[in-house]
Amino acid sequence: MILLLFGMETEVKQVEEIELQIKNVCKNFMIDKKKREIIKNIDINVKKGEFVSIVGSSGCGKSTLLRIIAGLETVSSGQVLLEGTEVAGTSPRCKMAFQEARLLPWWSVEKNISFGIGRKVDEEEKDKLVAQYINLVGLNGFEKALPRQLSGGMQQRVSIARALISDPKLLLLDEPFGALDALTKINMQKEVLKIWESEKKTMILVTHDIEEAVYLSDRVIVLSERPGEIKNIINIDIGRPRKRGSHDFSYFTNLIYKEFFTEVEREVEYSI
Amino acid sequence: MMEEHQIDIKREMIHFLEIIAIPLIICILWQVSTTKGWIKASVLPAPAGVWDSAVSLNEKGLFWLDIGSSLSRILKGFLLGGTIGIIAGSLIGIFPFFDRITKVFVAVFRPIPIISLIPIFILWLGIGEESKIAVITIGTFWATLINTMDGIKSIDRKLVEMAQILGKNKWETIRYIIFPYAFPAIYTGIRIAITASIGYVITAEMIAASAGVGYRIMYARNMAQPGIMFVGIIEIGLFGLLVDLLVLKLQEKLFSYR
Ligand SMILES: Nc1ncnc2c1ncn2[C@@H]1O[C@H](COP(=O)(O)OP(=O)(O)O)[C@@H](O)[C@H]1O
Ligand SMILES: [Mg+2]
Repeated sequence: MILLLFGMETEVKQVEEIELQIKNVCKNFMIDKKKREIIKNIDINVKKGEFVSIVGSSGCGKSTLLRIIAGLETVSSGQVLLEGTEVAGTSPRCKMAFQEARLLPWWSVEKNISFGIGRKVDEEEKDKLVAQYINLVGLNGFEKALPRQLSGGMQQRVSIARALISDPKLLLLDEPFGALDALTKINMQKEVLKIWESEKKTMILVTHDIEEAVYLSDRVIVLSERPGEIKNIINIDIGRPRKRGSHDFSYFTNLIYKEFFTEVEREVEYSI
Repeated sequence: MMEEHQIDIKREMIHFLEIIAIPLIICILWQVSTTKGWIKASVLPAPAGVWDSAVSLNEKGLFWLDIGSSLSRILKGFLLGGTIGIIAGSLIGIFPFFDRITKVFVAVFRPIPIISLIPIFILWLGIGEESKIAVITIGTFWATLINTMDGIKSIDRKLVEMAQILGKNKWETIRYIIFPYAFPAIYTGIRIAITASIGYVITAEMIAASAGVGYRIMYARNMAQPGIMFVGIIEIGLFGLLVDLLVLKLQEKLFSYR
């Protein structure tokens, strides 16, 4: 009896720790009048405060998976639970930054960011919040600038600030740095890491950049080619901050690269 | 610094000359060909003759009366048709239900030339103000309806999705995303409507009216007073120019974010 109670208690605790449960999720799309499996049997639990990356070649369903988590897309089968509650439509707990910044061109940086505030707040608090998040993403001095006056990297920062300002527990990032040059990208990764550490958020990042995944994540989930299935999950056991040139770092990047190379080799065999 | 400034002024002057060159040449040709007697005054009066006609119209108190009546018709018809057009266009653009129920109506009635409706309006509404305002209302309605509708339908789905993620409701999405997005198209509709209204009002006045620029042109033709006809035509041209300038200035102000 006592043992049983004990068992239950630990289970309850475990459930509390988990932010997101993806249970055996499949998604099919009708493409050209044919049913296509896009993702298949995805099973992931993401702990609170964890940083998880999803890597996979393009078209394997990474965005689709994120959109399902965000409530923008429904599952064909399986279940997605946010803090134990099944996802049905978008939720204030979860915000997403897209590959494109998706800013409103007629609004200044300030107004675009304040558009992300979810609840009713008075003007004074609003200004304070906006100033705080402009500071967080390092855009001081650009409050009044219009999106077209910003570089791609700065636009992405606005988009991330807009997603963060409502204080979501879970932040989804869909290749947010895909369109940036290498240097800006590395700076943005540092920025995101800093935010993740200071804000204690759960983050899920979709990327096709393996170094980016290793640099940022606690765990990297490798998806197979379409239909996207979990091919491997790799724990990145390196302390932070991580050094890109270090031995451990290249060990993990190589490990993940191999996941792709075997796939390519297999394909070559097939085609012969 | 100083030199750069001078170059700027020089460039501006050249631009100005480029803009007025053709109108200037036309005026000179007009003056020369009429004073030299290459063209008969009964066909095309000299600039001075047209000016005299304008002065005589003004003395009879008709000059501003005509302009005033035409303008007030345009304004009334435009306000009425524009309001209905923008509201209806918004409903059709936003709600697929309205799009479905109006599809056939729009497809059938929209291609009908507005001018062909003038006799019908005169039959129904008489030769008073109503028939002319009705013509402009219909013309303005279609121009604003179609542009508003298309502007809203062309909304970038990605922006709507962004609003959805941020937890915005339908009304907030319409107000902060869909309308601002469609605004340039709606503005284009308004611009087209005003320009077209000039044509409609002149035509309607030519067919039946007792004042107005179109009426005056027709009247002058019947009275064989070409000077007055050209006063009317120049008035219309200048009015068009004024509207264009105003619209462009406003456009720069409104859409400076692009
Ligand atoms: N709404 C949709 N309708 C039909 N097919 C879709 C839709 N969204 C995505 N797809 C298809 O699903 C596949 C995976 O897309 P996506 O998730 O964007 O891939 P990734 O982000 O990994 O590059 C693609 O082949 C794409 O054509
Ligand atoms: Mg994608």
